[in-house]
Amino acid sequence: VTAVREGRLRAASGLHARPAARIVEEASRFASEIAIESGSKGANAKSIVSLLRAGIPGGAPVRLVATGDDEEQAVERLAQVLEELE
Amino acid sequence: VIRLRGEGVSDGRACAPVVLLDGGAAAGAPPQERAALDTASALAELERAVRASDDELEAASRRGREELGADAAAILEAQRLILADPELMGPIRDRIAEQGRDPAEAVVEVSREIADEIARIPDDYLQQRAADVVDAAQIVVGHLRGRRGGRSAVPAAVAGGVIVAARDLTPLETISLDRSLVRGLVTELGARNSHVAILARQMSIPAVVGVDGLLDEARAGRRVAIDGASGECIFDPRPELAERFDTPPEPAFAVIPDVVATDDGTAVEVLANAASADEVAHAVALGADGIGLYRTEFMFFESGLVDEERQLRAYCEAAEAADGRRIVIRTLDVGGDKPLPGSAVAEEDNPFLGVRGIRYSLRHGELFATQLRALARAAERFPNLEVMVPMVSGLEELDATRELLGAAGAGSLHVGAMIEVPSSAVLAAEIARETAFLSVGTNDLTQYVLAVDRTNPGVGELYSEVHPAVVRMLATIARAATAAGVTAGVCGELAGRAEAAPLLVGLGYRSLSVAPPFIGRIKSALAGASMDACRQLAGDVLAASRLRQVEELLTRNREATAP
Repeated sequence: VTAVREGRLRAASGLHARPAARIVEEASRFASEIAIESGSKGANAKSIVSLLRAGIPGGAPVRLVATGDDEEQAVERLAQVLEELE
Repeated sequence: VIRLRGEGVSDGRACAPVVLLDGGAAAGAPPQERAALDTASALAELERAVRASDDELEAASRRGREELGADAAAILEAQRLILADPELMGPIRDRIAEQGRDPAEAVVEVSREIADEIARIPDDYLQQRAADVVDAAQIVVGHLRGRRGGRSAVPAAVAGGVIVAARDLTPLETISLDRSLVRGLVTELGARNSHVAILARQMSIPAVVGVDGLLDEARAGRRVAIDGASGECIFDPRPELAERFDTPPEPAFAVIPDVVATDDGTAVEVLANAASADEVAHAVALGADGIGLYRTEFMFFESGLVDEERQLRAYCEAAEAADGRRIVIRTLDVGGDKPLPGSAVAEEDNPFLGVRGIRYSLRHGELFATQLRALARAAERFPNLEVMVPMVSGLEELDATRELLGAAGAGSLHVGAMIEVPSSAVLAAEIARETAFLSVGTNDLTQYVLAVDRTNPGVGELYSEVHPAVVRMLATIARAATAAGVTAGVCGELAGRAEAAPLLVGLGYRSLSVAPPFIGRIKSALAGASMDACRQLAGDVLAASRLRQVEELLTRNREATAP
């Protein structure tokens, strides 16, 4: 009932407004609830404020956790987006 | 008299009383005295203010995308997402509904709490993102307190205009400045390529940024003289100095619909940069002889991958708006520094030295072929349509492009090369023989020749499009084009600088593509200009070996030829 994917935030300057906006945009295409976790931090991938609050630094390992009908596709797509972010 | 110095980022001088713009302080201003609203009205007022803020950001984002590129727009788009986020808006509504808070106070409180939290993140860069939340919330507070963005914060009653001083200006505040009123702007933060600087240049407002100690001196109503070229910033100037700086705002140039020529009859076409059919029409109305740089990436940024039919429609609309004038469409110019949404771009340590421009297009052959087919079909209907390939660094890329053109049945297109990589400047003679025209992208050429990252404030002051090394390279390119019998053009920011126009013409450039507001200025500067003087200036500048000498030559020439 939950899809999990491990990844890494490549964006060198961390999850600031522009990459966060990009994640929100992609995450919002899915029905599932999607969380991005890094260490003790967790954020709702559909909320830019939540992502900015989490303050995930560049290069940090992240865990994508999705729950819902399209959870597999969601974590797969977002893992890809995380790879692409500059 | 107090003299401060910053970085001059947008040419022009002005002397006028200061108006302080400070969104942060306004957020803390006491709410207006008025009867408390009932909960339903307070919530309705909040929704109305959020909607108005979103409209404002959307409009500014569209403008930013068109005038500045996707980066500036992305920041405004992120602010729109912030205002739509339940993590911000939920607690605000709760405080209004459950604690009876004033809407503006609730917005300030909640956004400050979130910003404070972000500011505690142990990462300097991410900490600064607190500003995005505060900036976005500030727009809503502005609407709740009855003003729109940055604009109404400038009192309209000051005769003779004002100089806006601020710690920093957000893209929305900058783009909202009333150009008929704001004679100049000066900020404590910022660098040559921060958003405020780029916008100021686009808007033709003299600007000095990065002025240490500015806010200790800037008081509302205090007179200040600024020079947007030298970066000087002089408070309480003596009368004779004030007079020198108090140049009237640049006269509105008459629209010159015809192609202008120098005194020996040499025609110089003044084209415009554009990214939509509306902008093409606007530029034509301002007297543009055509479009020298039509950017296609915005269409992709907005809509993701655009199919051939939609591209065809867009190119036809643009070519039609040019109304028979030349229109040069640049093929997709994306890369690690401006990634295409939805496409996989590998992480690069140096995106400016990575897969950009033609390199990207050639690695995505399908995408590129689709664009070339759409362009070829548009050119069948509109023979005024030409194509230009960005980031060419060698002849191999032109070979590969030609192959794709043939395969796409687009062999008849007029294709020129953008010269913005030093290698292509060195190979300009060969490139000129194999293309329909050369167009120099001075912004990128400068950053590559000088090895200066335009976006790095630590080296921003080293960036100059008139550096002797850049000018000599410009001369090489123009000579190569002339020898091959093709037109040499410039489509970077340098083309829009009035003092540089005679230099470029003297070097052999016969096509300048500028931001639409600069069309009149550049046409007026060139109409009837002495070709001998242009050549003399070019010769003098080419003999100079230090930037300061070049700048002095350009300034002296501008003063000598000013009406």
